[in-house]
Amino acid sequence: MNIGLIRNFWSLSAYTPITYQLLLNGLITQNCTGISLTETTLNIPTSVTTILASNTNISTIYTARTLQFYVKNPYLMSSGQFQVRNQL
Amino acid sequence: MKIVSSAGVSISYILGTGTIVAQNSTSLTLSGVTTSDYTGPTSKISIISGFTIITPPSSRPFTFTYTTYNVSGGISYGIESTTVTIHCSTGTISTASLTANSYAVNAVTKYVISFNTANGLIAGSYIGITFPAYTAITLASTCLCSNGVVGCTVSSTSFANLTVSGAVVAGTTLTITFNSVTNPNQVMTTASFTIYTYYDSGLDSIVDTLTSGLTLTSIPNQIVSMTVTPASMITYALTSYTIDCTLADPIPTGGNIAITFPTAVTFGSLSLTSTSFTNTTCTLTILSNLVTISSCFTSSVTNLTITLVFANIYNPPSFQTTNSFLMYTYGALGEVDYLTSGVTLTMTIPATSSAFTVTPLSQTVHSTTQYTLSITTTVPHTTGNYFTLSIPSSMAFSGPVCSPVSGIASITCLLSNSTSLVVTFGSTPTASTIVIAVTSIRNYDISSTAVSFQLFFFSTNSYIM
Repeated sequence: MNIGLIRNFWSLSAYTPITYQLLLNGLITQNCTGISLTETTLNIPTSVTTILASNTNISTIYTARTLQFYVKNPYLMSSGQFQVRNQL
Repeated sequence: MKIVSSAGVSISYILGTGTIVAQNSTSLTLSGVTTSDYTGPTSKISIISGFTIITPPSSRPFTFTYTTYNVSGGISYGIESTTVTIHCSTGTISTASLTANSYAVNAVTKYVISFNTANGLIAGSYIGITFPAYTAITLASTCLCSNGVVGCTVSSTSFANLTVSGAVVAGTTLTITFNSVTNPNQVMTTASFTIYTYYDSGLDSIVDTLTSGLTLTSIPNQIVSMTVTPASMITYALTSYTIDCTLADPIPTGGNIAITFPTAVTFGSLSLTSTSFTNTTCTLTILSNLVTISSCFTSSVTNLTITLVFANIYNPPSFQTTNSFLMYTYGALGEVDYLTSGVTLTMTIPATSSAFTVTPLSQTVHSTTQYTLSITTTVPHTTGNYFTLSIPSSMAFSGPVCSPVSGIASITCLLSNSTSLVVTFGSTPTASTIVIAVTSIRNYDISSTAVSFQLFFFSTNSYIM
């Protein structure tokens, strides 16, 4: 059975639990639980104004750089964290 | 607070809205960067003025990865992430100069290249200097850097590798001497020498560059020797000329030879009858007195002794020494050798008039009468040229008056002595045969005796013609 247009959960944490019911002529005949699902791929933000643009100079100090990150998924004040990682 | 990656990118976070919850050498994690819940899809997290970045010491690309997390039960679950690649611009090498001991074409000489670094280097860094086309470093020749921590090795005829064994701070002047470099084989301004500094052995670790403006302009050499030998030394003879010269340099492929003949030398149906090199494809181009031999140097002419024989050249019309022949050799791109002085011609034998008759109006002995002279000249004459007419000593001019009959519009006479008359052309003759009348010449005293008349032609400035 395929069910279309279900929005995924908005982080990589597991859906726990997923419940479903079996119906017969509109009457619940059975409740089912125990299925969980974990998303595997991070979403991509709507857009980013990055700390540094390309074509900056080498061996240079850039101060007061602004980062703007436009989220596509929910981001909660109380539980949200933001990480910047660099790699050469 | 500062985090420094092992590769040299630094990030610090000072004034932003969040607080640091984790950090290591390559990442920084913040919380509290918003004051309300966002639900997307266009909500903006702004971390204003929060970051200070120190970019790496080379142009090797690096990335920033931005990730949002939701923390639940002490576990961070990723939400969104994106990675941005940063390509830093290299520094520009400044105050670059190039000095050669000799700028002459084909010279094997010493080059001194000097420049200032824009950014620092460390032990393990290196510097590459690429020589442009038409210059060549002698393999296994030596080069030396003024800075003791920079060693120099000639890697090929066009590249030198300079290794750095210690710190070279930004703004250091480096002077490198190449002891044996061959200049271009013809006059040109080369493309720029290029200089790249590298932070480490990776080709993507470029630090500073110089790709323009450092050029060398070569100059020509003087031809070693040149002689011009006409087959005849008679004035205005139509003859052949043999030009022998020893060049200083080979004529490069695609080159040509240009010879400017003196203005007193003129051409008939000029042709190049023989050369010391293969001339089957040669093209002769004549522009006034400039003769160019081209299209016959499909490969370099390395024999520096060359001979050219031209046919159908008119000698100078007088004994006056000519101005110098000029000779240049060229490559496809520029001049190679030159000679602009010291090769002149001086004729030694006057031309003989092809016809000369003298007709007295009266042939009575000792009578004074008019003589008609008809002269067919070999050499072309112009206004101001003159001839002397000599008569036997038993004859005499008596207040002579000269008048043109044909072939010339104006003449004047001046008595030099009783047996010599100077006749000057008041206009350029209109024909090769000129006829003039001279009154008042006293006939010879003895009848039936042949007498001799002599003419000598001179140019305006009194050179024999």
